[in-house]
Amino acid sequence: MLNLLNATERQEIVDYCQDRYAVDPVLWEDLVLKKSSEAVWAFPVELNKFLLAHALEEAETSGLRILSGKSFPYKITDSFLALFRSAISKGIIELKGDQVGGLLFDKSIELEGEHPSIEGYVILKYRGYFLGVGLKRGSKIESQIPKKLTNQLSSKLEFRDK
Amino acid sequence: MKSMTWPLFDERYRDLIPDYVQFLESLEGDLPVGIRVNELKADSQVVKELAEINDKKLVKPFKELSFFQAQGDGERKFWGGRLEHHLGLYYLQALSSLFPVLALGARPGESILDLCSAPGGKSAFVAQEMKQQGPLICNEPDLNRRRVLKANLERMGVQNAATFAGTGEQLAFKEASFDKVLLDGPCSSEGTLRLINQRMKKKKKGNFLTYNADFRKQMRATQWELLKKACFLLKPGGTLVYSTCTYDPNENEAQVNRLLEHNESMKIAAIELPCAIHDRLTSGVVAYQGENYHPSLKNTYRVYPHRIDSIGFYFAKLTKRD
Repeated sequence: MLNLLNATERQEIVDYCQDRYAVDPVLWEDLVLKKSSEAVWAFPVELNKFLLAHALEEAETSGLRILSGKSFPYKITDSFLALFRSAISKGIIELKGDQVGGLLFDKSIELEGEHPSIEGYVILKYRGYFLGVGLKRGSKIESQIPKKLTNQLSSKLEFRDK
Repeated sequence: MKSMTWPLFDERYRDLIPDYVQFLESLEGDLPVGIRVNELKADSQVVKELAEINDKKLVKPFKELSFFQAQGDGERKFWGGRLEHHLGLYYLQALSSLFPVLALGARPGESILDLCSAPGGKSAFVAQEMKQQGPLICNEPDLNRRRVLKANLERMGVQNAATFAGTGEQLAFKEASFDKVLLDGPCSSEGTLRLINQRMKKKKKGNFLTYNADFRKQMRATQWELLKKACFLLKPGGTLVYSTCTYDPNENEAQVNRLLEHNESMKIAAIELPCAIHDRLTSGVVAYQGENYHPSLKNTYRVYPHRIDSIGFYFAKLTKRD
Protein backbone atom coordinates (compact mmCIF):
# COMPACT_ATOMS: atom_id res chain seq x y z
CA MET A 1 0.00 0.00 0.00
CA LEU A 2 1.42 3.34 -1.06
CA ASN A 3 0.48 6.58 0.66
CA LEU A 4 1.12 10.06 -0.62
CA LEU A 5 3.76 11.85 1.44
CA ASN A 6 2.48 14.92 3.24
CA ALA A 7 4.19 18.27 2.65
CA THR A 8 6.42 17.99 5.71
CA GLU A 9 7.59 14.46 4.93
CA ARG A 10 8.24 15.45 1.35
CA GLN A 11 10.26 18.51 2.34
CA GLU A 12 12.37 16.45 4.75
CA ILE A 13 13.33 14.10 1.94
CA VAL A 14 14.07 16.92 -0.49
CA ASP A 15 16.25 18.65 2.12
CA TYR A 16 18.01 15.41 3.04
CA CYS A 17 18.92 14.66 -0.57
CA GLN A 18 20.07 18.21 -1.18
CA ASP A 19 22.23 18.23 1.91
CA ARG A 20 23.70 14.81 1.37
CA TYR A 21 23.90 14.39 -2.41
CA ALA A 22 23.42 17.97 -3.68
CA VAL A 23 20.20 17.13 -5.53
CA ASP A 24 18.58 20.43 -6.53
CA PRO A 25 15.08 20.77 -4.96
CA VAL A 26 13.76 21.94 -8.35
CA LEU A 27 14.26 18.41 -9.70
CA TRP A 28 11.59 17.05 -7.36
CA GLU A 29 8.87 19.29 -8.77
CA ASP A 30 7.90 16.82 -11.50
CA LEU A 31 7.68 13.93 -9.08
CA VAL A 32 4.85 12.63 -6.93
CA LEU A 33 6.28 10.96 -3.81
CA LYS A 34 4.61 8.05 -2.07
CA LYS A 35 5.64 5.87 0.80
CA SER A 36 5.22 2.20 1.61
CA SER A 37 6.19 0.61 4.91
CA GLU A 38 9.78 0.15 3.73
CA ALA A 39 10.47 2.52 0.87
CA VAL A 40 9.82 5.86 -0.77
CA TRP A 41 8.60 5.85 -4.35
CA ALA A 42 8.76 8.58 -6.98
CA PHE A 43 6.22 8.83 -9.79
CA PRO A 44 6.76 11.12 -12.75
CA VAL A 45 3.83 13.58 -12.66
CA GLU A 46 2.92 13.02 -16.31
CA LEU A 47 2.76 9.25 -15.94
CA ASN A 48 0.77 9.56 -12.73
CA LYS A 49 -1.72 11.93 -14.37
CA PHE A 50 -2.05 9.69 -17.40
CA LEU A 51 -2.86 6.63 -15.33
CA LEU A 52 -5.32 8.55 -13.18
CA ALA A 53 -7.01 10.07 -16.23
CA HIS A 54 -7.61 6.58 -17.56
CA ALA A 55 -8.79 5.39 -14.16
CA LEU A 56 -6.30 2.60 -14.37
CA GLU A 57 -5.01 1.21 -11.16
CA GLU A 58 -3.94 -2.18 -12.39
CA ALA A 59 -0.49 -1.11 -13.54
CA GLU A 60 1.78 -3.81 -12.23
CA THR A 61 4.64 -1.42 -11.81
CA SER A 62 4.93 2.28 -12.19
CA GLY A 63 7.15 4.67 -10.37
CA LEU A 64 10.62 4.26 -8.97
CA ARG A 65 11.68 2.92 -5.62
CA ILE A 66 14.19 5.65 -4.87
CA LEU A 67 14.81 5.27 -1.14
CA SER A 68 14.65 2.16 0.97
CA GLY A 69 14.18 1.95 4.71
CA LYS A 70 11.47 2.85 7.18
CA SER A 71 12.85 6.24 8.15
CA PHE A 72 15.95 8.40 8.05
CA PRO A 73 18.69 7.72 7.18
CA TYR A 74 17.19 6.20 4.06
CA LYS A 75 19.34 4.14 1.74
CA ILE A 76 19.39 5.46 -1.78
CA THR A 77 18.72 2.95 -4.56
CA ASP A 78 19.92 2.38 -8.12
CA SER A 79 16.71 4.05 -9.29
CA PHE A 80 17.65 7.14 -7.29
CA LEU A 81 21.00 7.18 -9.05
CA ALA A 82 19.34 6.80 -12.44
CA LEU A 83 16.78 9.50 -11.68
CA PHE A 84 19.18 12.14 -10.43
CA ARG A 85 22.26 10.97 -12.29
CA SER A 86 23.47 14.28 -13.63
CA ALA A 87 22.47 16.25 -10.53
CA ILE A 88 24.42 14.30 -7.93
CA SER A 89 27.68 15.95 -7.00
CA LYS A 90 28.12 15.11 -3.33
CA GLY A 91 28.44 11.97 -1.25
CA ILE A 92 30.47 10.26 -3.92
CA ILE A 93 33.45 7.96 -3.52
CA GLU A 94 35.51 7.46 -6.68
CA LEU A 95 36.89 3.93 -6.83
CA LYS A 96 39.93 2.48 -8.51
CA GLY A 97 39.81 -0.75 -10.45
CA ASP A 98 41.16 -2.99 -7.69
CA GLN A 99 38.69 -1.49 -5.21
CA VAL A 100 35.77 -2.35 -7.49
CA GLY A 101 36.72 -6.02 -7.53
CA GLY A 102 37.06 -5.94 -3.73
CA LEU A 103 33.61 -4.43 -3.27
CA LEU A 104 31.88 -6.68 -5.75
CA PHE A 105 33.36 -9.98 -4.68
CA ASP A 106 34.73 -9.48 -1.16
CA LYS A 107 31.82 -7.18 -0.15
CA SER A 108 33.96 -4.56 1.57
CA ILE A 109 37.15 -2.55 1.22
CA GLU A 110 39.36 -0.45 3.41
CA LEU A 111 40.20 2.97 2.01
CA GLU A 112 43.85 3.81 2.29
CA GLY A 113 45.31 7.25 2.84
CA GLU A 114 43.08 10.29 2.81
CA HIS A 115 39.42 9.73 2.15
CA PRO A 116 36.26 11.85 2.30
CA SER A 117 34.96 12.37 5.80
CA ILE A 118 31.36 11.60 4.78
CA GLU A 119 29.76 8.70 6.69
CA GLY A 120 26.75 6.53 5.99
CA TYR A 121 25.34 5.73 2.57
CA VAL A 122 27.65 6.90 -0.18
CA ILE A 123 27.55 6.70 -3.95
CA LEU A 124 30.22 4.57 -5.56
CA LYS A 125 31.59 5.72 -8.87
CA TYR A 126 34.03 3.97 -11.20
CA ARG A 127 35.42 5.36 -14.44
CA GLY A 128 32.80 8.11 -14.40
CA TYR A 129 29.65 6.04 -13.95
CA PHE A 130 27.63 4.97 -10.95
CA LEU A 131 28.44 1.53 -9.66
CA GLY A 132 25.94 1.53 -6.79
CA VAL A 133 25.70 2.35 -3.12
CA GLY A 134 28.08 1.63 -0.25
CA LEU A 135 27.86 2.05 3.50
CA LYS A 136 30.89 3.96 4.73
CA ARG A 137 32.05 3.74 8.32
CA GLY A 138 35.38 5.42 8.87
CA SER A 139 37.76 4.03 6.28
CA LYS A 140 35.65 0.92 5.59
CA ILE A 141 33.08 0.69 2.83
CA GLU A 142 30.60 -2.17 2.78
CA SER A 143 28.99 -2.95 -0.52
CA GLN A 144 25.22 -2.43 -0.79
CA ILE A 145 25.30 -3.50 -4.42
CA PRO A 146 22.54 -6.05 -5.02
CA LYS A 147 23.63 -9.69 -4.98
CA LYS A 148 21.76 -10.26 -8.21
CA LEU A 149 24.36 -8.09 -9.91
CA THR A 150 27.43 -9.68 -8.39
CA ASN A 151 26.04 -13.17 -8.96
CA GLN A 152 25.90 -12.44 -12.67
CA LEU A 153 29.52 -11.40 -12.87
CA SER A 154 32.52 -13.62 -13.22
CA SER A 155 35.06 -13.26 -10.43
CA LYS A 156 37.68 -13.42 -13.17
CA LEU A 157 36.66 -10.00 -14.43
CA GLU A 158 39.39 -7.44 -14.30
CA PHE A 159 38.65 -3.84 -13.45
CA ARG A 160 41.27 -1.54 -14.80
CA ASP A 161 41.74 2.14 -14.33
CA LYS A 162 41.66 4.02 -17.55
CA MET B 1 31.58 -27.28 -44.55
CA LYS B 2 28.50 -28.72 -46.16
CA SER B 3 25.82 -26.11 -46.55
CA MET B 4 22.54 -26.61 -44.81
CA THR B 5 19.49 -26.80 -46.97
CA TRP B 6 16.35 -24.83 -46.38
CA PRO B 7 13.59 -26.59 -48.32
CA LEU B 8 10.92 -24.73 -46.45
CA PHE B 9 12.35 -21.38 -47.49
CA ASP B 10 12.99 -22.58 -51.07
CA GLU B 11 9.36 -23.41 -51.49
CA ARG B 12 8.00 -20.17 -50.09
CA TYR B 13 10.60 -17.48 -50.55
CA ARG B 14 12.80 -18.32 -53.53
CA ASP B 15 10.85 -15.92 -55.72
CA LEU B 16 10.20 -13.41 -52.99
CA ILE B 17 13.59 -12.66 -51.50
CA PRO B 18 16.05 -10.87 -53.81
CA ASP B 19 19.47 -12.52 -54.27
CA TYR B 20 18.07 -15.62 -52.70
CA VAL B 21 21.32 -17.62 -52.76
CA GLN B 22 23.14 -14.87 -50.93
CA PHE B 23 20.27 -14.75 -48.47
CA LEU B 24 20.70 -18.47 -47.71
CA GLU B 25 24.44 -18.04 -47.34
CA SER B 26 23.88 -15.23 -44.87
CA LEU B 27 21.81 -17.55 -42.67
CA GLU B 28 24.92 -19.64 -42.11
CA GLY B 29 27.15 -16.74 -41.17
CA ASP B 30 27.60 -15.76 -37.55
CA LEU B 31 25.31 -13.03 -36.32
CA PRO B 32 27.18 -10.01 -34.95
CA VAL B 33 26.45 -8.90 -31.42
CA GLY B 34 24.62 -5.57 -31.39
CA ILE B 35 25.56 -3.13 -28.64
CA ARG B 36 23.23 -0.17 -28.15
CA VAL B 37 24.61 2.46 -25.83
CA ASN B 38 21.99 3.38 -23.24
CA GLU B 39 22.06 7.16 -23.40
CA LEU B 40 19.89 7.34 -20.29
CA LYS B 41 22.98 6.32 -18.35
CA ALA B 42 26.07 6.60 -20.50
CA ASP B 43 27.58 7.65 -23.79
CA SER B 44 29.53 5.84 -26.51
CA GLN B 45 32.80 6.36 -24.70
CA VAL B 46 31.98 3.53 -22.28
CA VAL B 47 31.79 0.99 -25.09
CA LYS B 48 34.76 2.41 -26.96
CA GLU B 49 36.93 2.28 -23.86
CA LEU B 50 35.89 -1.27 -23.05
CA ALA B 51 36.80 -2.32 -26.57
CA GLU B 52 40.12 -0.53 -26.41
CA ILE B 53 41.13 -1.94 -23.03
CA ASN B 54 40.26 -5.47 -24.12
CA ASP B 55 41.55 -5.31 -27.71
CA LYS B 56 38.11 -5.77 -29.18
CA LYS B 57 37.20 -4.71 -32.68
CA LEU B 58 33.92 -2.86 -33.12
CA VAL B 59 32.01 -1.69 -36.15
CA LYS B 60 29.78 1.39 -35.95
CA PRO B 61 27.24 0.88 -38.73
CA PHE B 62 25.86 4.42 -38.65
CA LYS B 63 27.48 7.57 -37.42
CA GLU B 64 24.06 8.85 -36.30
CA LEU B 65 23.41 5.98 -33.88
CA SER B 66 25.17 5.11 -30.64
CA PHE B 67 25.27 1.51 -31.73
CA PHE B 68 28.12 -0.92 -32.36
CA GLN B 69 28.53 -4.45 -33.65
CA ALA B 70 31.12 -7.04 -32.67
CA GLN B 71 31.68 -10.16 -34.73
CA GLY B 72 33.28 -13.43 -33.75
CA ASP B 73 33.30 -16.33 -31.36
CA GLY B 74 32.95 -15.35 -27.75
CA GLU B 75 31.85 -11.78 -28.42
CA ARG B 76 28.34 -12.31 -27.06
CA LYS B 77 29.75 -13.82 -23.89
CA PHE B 78 32.29 -11.04 -23.54
CA TRP B 79 29.89 -8.12 -23.99
CA GLY B 80 27.14 -9.82 -22.02
CA GLY B 81 29.45 -10.52 -19.08
CA ARG B 82 30.81 -7.02 -18.48
CA LEU B 83 29.95 -5.06 -15.38
CA GLU B 84 28.94 -2.17 -17.64
CA HIS B 85 26.30 -4.38 -19.27
CA HIS B 86 24.82 -5.39 -15.95
CA LEU B 87 24.77 -1.76 -14.86
CA GLY B 88 22.68 -0.93 -17.90
CA LEU B 89 25.21 1.28 -19.64
CA TYR B 90 24.52 -0.62 -22.84
CA TYR B 91 22.03 -3.17 -24.07
CA LEU B 92 22.59 -6.09 -26.41
CA GLN B 93 20.10 -6.06 -29.25
CA ALA B 94 20.07 -6.71 -32.96
CA LEU B 95 20.51 -3.78 -35.30
CA SER B 96 17.27 -4.63 -37.11
CA SER B 97 15.28 -4.23 -33.92
CA LEU B 98 16.20 -0.54 -33.76
CA PHE B 99 14.40 0.28 -37.00
CA PRO B 100 10.79 -0.03 -35.75
CA VAL B 101 11.61 2.31 -32.87
CA LEU B 102 13.33 4.79 -35.18
CA ALA B 103 10.36 4.60 -37.55
CA LEU B 104 8.01 5.35 -34.64
CA GLY B 105 9.81 8.66 -34.08
CA ALA B 106 8.99 8.99 -30.39
CA ARG B 107 9.19 12.54 -29.08
CA PRO B 108 9.27 14.03 -25.57
CA GLY B 109 5.82 14.56 -24.09
CA GLU B 110 3.98 12.00 -26.19
CA SER B 111 1.94 9.16 -24.74
CA ILE B 112 3.30 5.90 -26.10
CA LEU B 113 2.21 2.28 -25.82
CA ASP B 114 4.53 -0.66 -26.43
CA LEU B 115 1.94 -3.35 -26.81
CA CYS B 116 4.25 -6.41 -26.74
CA SER B 117 7.02 -5.07 -24.65
CA ALA B 118 9.23 -7.90 -23.36
CA PRO B 119 12.15 -8.24 -23.10
CA GLY B 120 12.24 -4.44 -23.07
CA GLY B 121 15.07 -3.45 -25.42
CA LYS B 122 12.77 -1.52 -27.70
CA SER B 123 10.86 -0.01 -24.76
CA ALA B 124 14.07 1.28 -23.24
CA PHE B 125 15.07 2.72 -26.60
CA VAL B 126 11.65 4.41 -26.91
CA ALA B 127 12.13 5.90 -23.41
CA GLN B 128 15.48 7.23 -24.53
CA GLU B 129 13.99 8.76 -27.68
CA MET B 130 11.24 10.38 -25.54
CA LYS B 131 13.93 11.76 -23.25
CA GLN B 132 11.77 10.11 -20.60
CA GLN B 133 9.14 12.82 -20.91
CA GLY B 134 5.60 11.56 -21.25
CA PRO B 135 3.95 8.28 -20.26
CA LEU B 136 5.30 5.04 -21.69
CA ILE B 137 3.03 2.05 -21.17
CA CYS B 138 4.67 -1.35 -21.53
CA ASN B 139 2.45 -4.39 -21.79
CA GLU B 140 3.42 -8.04 -21.51
CA PRO B 141 0.99 -10.81 -20.56
CA ASP B 142 3.49 -13.58 -19.86
CA LEU B 143 4.72 -13.57 -16.25
CA ASN B 144 8.26 -14.79 -16.92
CA ARG B 145 8.74 -12.45 -19.85
CA ARG B 146 7.31 -9.61 -17.78
CA ARG B 147 9.86 -10.27 -15.03
CA VAL B 148 12.61 -9.91 -17.60
CA LEU B 149 10.96 -6.76 -18.95
CA LYS B 150 10.77 -5.12 -15.53
CA ALA B 151 14.34 -6.10 -14.67
CA ASN B 152 15.58 -4.66 -17.95
CA LEU B 153 13.66 -1.41 -17.59
CA GLU B 154 15.05 -1.00 -14.09
CA ARG B 155 18.57 -1.86 -15.20
CA MET B 156 18.37 0.63 -18.05
CA GLY B 157 17.17 3.34 -15.66
CA VAL B 158 13.82 3.92 -17.40
CA GLN B 159 11.76 6.26 -15.27
CA ASN B 160 8.63 7.07 -17.24
CA ALA B 161 7.24 3.58 -17.80
CA ALA B 162 4.37 1.65 -16.26
CA THR B 163 4.05 -2.06 -16.93
CA PHE B 164 0.78 -3.88 -17.48
CA ALA B 165 0.10 -7.56 -17.28
CA GLY B 166 -2.95 -8.27 -19.40
CA THR B 167 -3.11 -9.59 -22.90
CA GLY B 168 -2.78 -6.77 -25.39
CA GLU B 169 -6.30 -7.37 -26.63
CA GLN B 170 -7.69 -6.83 -23.12
CA LEU B 171 -5.69 -3.74 -22.22
CA ALA B 172 -8.23 -1.45 -20.55
CA PHE B 173 -7.23 1.97 -21.83
CA LYS B 174 -9.89 4.16 -23.37
CA GLU B 175 -10.22 4.63 -27.08
CA ALA B 176 -7.72 7.10 -28.59
CA SER B 177 -5.44 7.17 -25.56
CA PHE B 178 -2.05 7.19 -27.26
CA ASP B 179 -0.10 9.40 -29.63
CA LYS B 180 1.95 6.44 -30.78
CA VAL B 181 1.75 2.67 -30.55
CA LEU B 182 4.55 0.20 -31.17
CA LEU B 183 3.30 -3.28 -31.98
CA ASP B 184 6.23 -5.63 -32.34
CA GLY B 185 3.96 -8.60 -32.53
CA PRO B 186 4.41 -12.25 -31.71
CA CYS B 187 5.40 -14.08 -34.87
CA SER B 188 6.94 -17.21 -36.32
CA SER B 189 10.39 -15.63 -35.80
CA GLU B 190 11.93 -16.83 -39.05
CA GLY B 191 14.19 -13.79 -38.99
CA THR B 192 16.02 -15.10 -35.94
CA LEU B 193 17.01 -18.35 -37.66
CA ARG B 194 20.48 -17.00 -38.18
CA LEU B 195 21.02 -16.77 -34.45
CA ILE B 196 19.35 -20.10 -33.78
CA ASN B 197 21.35 -21.71 -36.58
CA GLN B 198 24.55 -20.41 -34.96
CA ARG B 199 23.57 -22.02 -31.66
CA MET B 200 22.56 -25.26 -33.37
CA LYS B 201 25.91 -25.46 -35.14
CA LYS B 202 27.68 -25.12 -31.80
CA LYS B 203 25.61 -27.99 -30.49
CA LYS B 204 26.30 -29.89 -33.71
CA LYS B 205 22.60 -30.20 -34.38
CA GLY B 206 20.96 -29.94 -37.77
CA ASN B 207 18.45 -27.68 -39.36
CA PHE B 208 15.40 -27.69 -37.13
CA LEU B 209 13.16 -25.56 -39.32
CA THR B 210 9.66 -26.92 -39.70
CA TYR B 211 6.33 -25.44 -40.66
CA ASN B 212 3.58 -25.77 -38.11
CA ALA B 213 0.39 -24.62 -39.80
CA ASP B 214 -1.66 -24.50 -36.61
CA PHE B 215 0.96 -22.40 -34.84
CA ARG B 216 1.13 -19.97 -37.76
CA LYS B 217 -2.63 -19.70 -37.87
CA GLN B 218 -2.72 -18.91 -34.16
CA MET B 219 0.02 -16.30 -34.61
CA ARG B 220 -1.90 -14.60 -37.39
CA ALA B 221 -5.07 -14.53 -35.29
CA THR B 222 -3.22 -12.94 -32.38
CA GLN B 223 -1.50 -10.41 -34.61
CA TRP B 224 -4.82 -9.41 -36.09
CA GLU B 225 -6.47 -8.90 -32.69
CA LEU B 226 -3.51 -6.84 -31.54
CA LEU B 227 -3.57 -4.71 -34.68
CA LYS B 228 -7.25 -3.93 -34.19
CA LYS B 229 -6.60 -3.04 -30.56
CA ALA B 230 -3.63 -0.84 -31.48
CA CYS B 231 -5.82 1.15 -33.91
CA PHE B 232 -8.54 1.50 -31.29
CA LEU B 233 -6.08 2.91 -28.76
CA LEU B 234 -4.44 5.30 -31.20
CA LYS B 235 -5.44 8.97 -31.27
CA PRO B 236 -6.52 10.50 -34.58
CA GLY B 237 -3.35 11.74 -36.22
CA GLY B 238 -1.38 9.18 -34.22
CA THR B 239 1.26 6.75 -35.47
CA LEU B 240 1.33 2.97 -35.33
CA VAL B 241 4.41 0.93 -36.15
CA TYR B 242 3.80 -2.75 -36.73
CA SER B 243 6.81 -5.04 -36.86
CA THR B 244 7.74 -8.69 -36.74
CA CYS B 245 10.93 -10.70 -37.02
CA THR B 246 9.62 -13.01 -39.70
CA TYR B 247 9.76 -13.15 -43.50
CA ASP B 248 6.30 -14.58 -43.95
CA PRO B 249 4.12 -12.07 -45.87
CA ASN B 250 1.06 -13.67 -44.31
CA GLU B 251 2.20 -12.28 -40.97
CA ASN B 252 3.42 -9.00 -42.41
CA GLU B 253 2.05 -7.28 -45.50
CA ALA B 254 -1.11 -9.40 -45.52
CA GLN B 255 -1.95 -8.33 -41.98
CA VAL B 256 -1.36 -4.66 -42.71
CA ASN B 257 -3.35 -4.98 -45.94
CA ARG B 258 -6.23 -6.49 -44.01
CA LEU B 259 -6.08 -3.60 -41.57
CA LEU B 260 -6.25 -1.05 -44.39
CA GLU B 261 -9.32 -2.82 -45.77
CA HIS B 262 -10.92 -3.18 -42.35
CA ASN B 263 -10.21 0.29 -41.01
CA GLU B 264 -10.49 3.19 -43.44
CA SER B 265 -9.04 5.60 -40.90
CA MET B 266 -5.63 3.94 -41.20
CA LYS B 267 -3.15 4.63 -43.97
CA ILE B 268 0.45 3.75 -44.70
CA ALA B 269 2.92 6.50 -43.86
CA ALA B 270 6.35 7.12 -45.34
CA ILE B 271 9.18 5.90 -43.16
CA GLU B 272 12.05 8.25 -42.51
CA LEU B 273 14.97 6.90 -40.56
CA PRO B 274 17.69 9.09 -39.08
CA CYS B 275 20.47 7.03 -40.65
CA ALA B 276 21.56 6.16 -44.18
CA ILE B 277 19.94 2.75 -44.48
CA HIS B 278 17.10 3.05 -46.99
CA ASP B 279 19.10 1.68 -49.93
CA ARG B 280 19.78 -1.51 -47.98
CA LEU B 281 16.19 -2.04 -46.94
CA THR B 282 13.83 -3.93 -49.25
CA SER B 283 10.33 -2.66 -50.01
CA GLY B 284 7.36 -4.61 -48.75
CA VAL B 285 5.75 -7.02 -51.20
CA VAL B 286 2.46 -6.12 -52.89
CA ALA B 287 1.55 -9.61 -54.03
CA TYR B 288 2.10 -13.10 -52.61
CA GLN B 289 0.69 -16.53 -53.29
CA GLY B 290 -1.88 -15.12 -55.71
CA GLU B 291 -3.08 -12.38 -53.41
CA ASN B 292 -2.61 -8.70 -54.26
CA TYR B 293 -2.08 -6.14 -51.55
CA HIS B 294 -2.63 -2.39 -51.49
CA PRO B 295 0.10 -0.66 -53.55
CA SER B 296 1.10 1.50 -50.59
CA LEU B 297 2.51 -1.64 -48.94
CA LYS B 298 5.64 -1.03 -50.99
CA ASN B 299 6.32 1.78 -48.52
CA THR B 300 6.78 -0.75 -45.73
CA TYR B 301 10.18 -2.40 -45.27
CA ARG B 302 11.82 -5.77 -45.07
CA VAL B 303 15.23 -6.33 -43.52
CA TYR B 304 17.22 -9.21 -44.97
CA PRO B 305 20.44 -10.43 -43.36
CA HIS B 306 22.40 -10.50 -46.64
CA ARG B 307 21.75 -6.77 -47.04
CA ILE B 308 21.97 -5.69 -43.43
CA ASP B 309 24.20 -7.71 -41.14
CA SER B 310 21.56 -8.56 -38.56
CA ILE B 311 18.39 -10.62 -38.14
CA GLY B 312 15.42 -10.56 -40.51
CA PHE B 313 12.67 -8.05 -39.81
CA TYR B 314 9.59 -6.40 -41.24
CA PHE B 315 8.17 -3.02 -40.27
CA ALA B 316 5.32 -0.81 -41.40
CA LYS B 317 4.33 2.68 -40.29
CA LEU B 318 0.70 3.72 -40.35
CA THR B 319 -1.13 6.85 -39.33
CA LYS B 320 -4.69 7.32 -38.23
CA ARG B 321 -6.54 9.98 -40.17
CA ASP B 322 -7.77 13.01 -38.17
